[in-house]
Amino acid sequence: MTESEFENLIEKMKNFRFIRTQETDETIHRLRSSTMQIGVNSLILFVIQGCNLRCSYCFATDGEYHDKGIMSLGTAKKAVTFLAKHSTSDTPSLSFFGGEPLLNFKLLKKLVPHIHKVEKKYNKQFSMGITTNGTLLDKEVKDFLIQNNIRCMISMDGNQQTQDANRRFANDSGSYDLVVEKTRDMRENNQLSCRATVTPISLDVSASFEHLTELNFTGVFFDAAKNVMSEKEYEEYGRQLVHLFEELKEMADAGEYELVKKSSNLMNFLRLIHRAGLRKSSCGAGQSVIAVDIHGDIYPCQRYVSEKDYCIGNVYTGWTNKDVRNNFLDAVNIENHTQCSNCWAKNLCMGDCAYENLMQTGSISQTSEAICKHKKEIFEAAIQLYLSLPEDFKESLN
Amino acid sequence: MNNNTLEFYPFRIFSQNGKNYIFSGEMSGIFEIDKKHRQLLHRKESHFQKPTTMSVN
Ligand code: SF4
Repeated sequence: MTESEFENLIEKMKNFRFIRTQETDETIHRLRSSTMQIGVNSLILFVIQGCNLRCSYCFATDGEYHDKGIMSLGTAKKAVTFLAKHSTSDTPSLSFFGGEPLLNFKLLKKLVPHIHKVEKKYNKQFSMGITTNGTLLDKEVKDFLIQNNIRCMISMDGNQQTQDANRRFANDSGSYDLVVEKTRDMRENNQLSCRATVTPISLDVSASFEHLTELNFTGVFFDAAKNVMSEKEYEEYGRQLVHLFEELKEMADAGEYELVKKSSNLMNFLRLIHRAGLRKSSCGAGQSVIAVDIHGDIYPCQRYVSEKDYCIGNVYTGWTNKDVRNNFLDAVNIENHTQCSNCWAKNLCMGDCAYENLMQTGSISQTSEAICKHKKEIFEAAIQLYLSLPEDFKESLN
Repeated sequence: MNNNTLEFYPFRIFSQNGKNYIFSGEMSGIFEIDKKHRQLLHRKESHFQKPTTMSVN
């Protein structure tokens, strides 16, 4: 290599932040510490804390979060205005959540017309969504969701055996048959995506993926119920998810991109990889994302609801607990995760989920060894798949 | 930081269809690399967990 070739190479590597300099270190630190300027662009609205199912893994004690009740229309309207005022996006996201949000459909029917008025007033278009167990989807509800362009995600864990074991009614009957029946037309019309919780009885995510895509969900997202898994079971889940990605890579190699696109876990990773650039936080909890409980109290995300120590404000009174918010944002800042400072996957993983960290290690800034290992393996599989994709597929990830 | 030392942010080298790529941990950028880059980044292990330093003079 000639001297000038060598110098060129070094220059290029500096530009792409491969080479560490004091200047780039300072820039990165400054950018990652300036997260407070981001607006609130996503709000998770707890229209009810209560549910008609008794899922085996529910971390929210039957959807109640130790605080059963429903949200009033007044509080819901305040939350909508809060989002309109604090968002920097023209299309802020509003998710109806619970418990089972359709148990408070009465509120949604009154709230959504109000949202349309707020949209006009603030010159925004809300991107609305709902996460539901699907058991209460009747014609009126479905027409309402479709007419108002509300994206619908069904919580469904897999085949009949898995669903009926995990997701049961209070009278102990399973929910599979009912959910399949209630969702049939919307699934057939490509109007439903799915979120599947993985438990020790459903570690074979490839089998669940096959079943749920056969049911014609437009996307399937898996998340592990770590609260009911042993470390070994979690490791096995990690292996199974990597295995699913390897199978999806074979599908991609064979040109079967439609199935690849149905893996929401994979697509999320592929977008992260493709878009590159310095990331500031993992999911935006407490910054661009907030959850609002039935009383109007604001939490960093849905997982923290009812954890009073993490309440960061209220939609009536604003950011009343600024210190709590600042401390939370400091703790999630990847720059403060010492274990991640030299990790090659840092900008993708961002130290993982703050709530899971808290549950597993007692600290928001510390990820458990098992999760850390899994994250590296899964990102490695996703990058391998990304590299094998044709250019037009990569472009579609923009 | 020592001026005589090149320090790299953490990275990972990937191989796919006979080509080599480098993934940068700080920016998530992926770049194809050739022999010259490999010369510069030469390591037996492709998995870097610690900042890698090399002397340039
Ligand atoms: S993979 Fe582990 S070390 Fe790397 S960023 Fe994630 S939690 Fe941190």
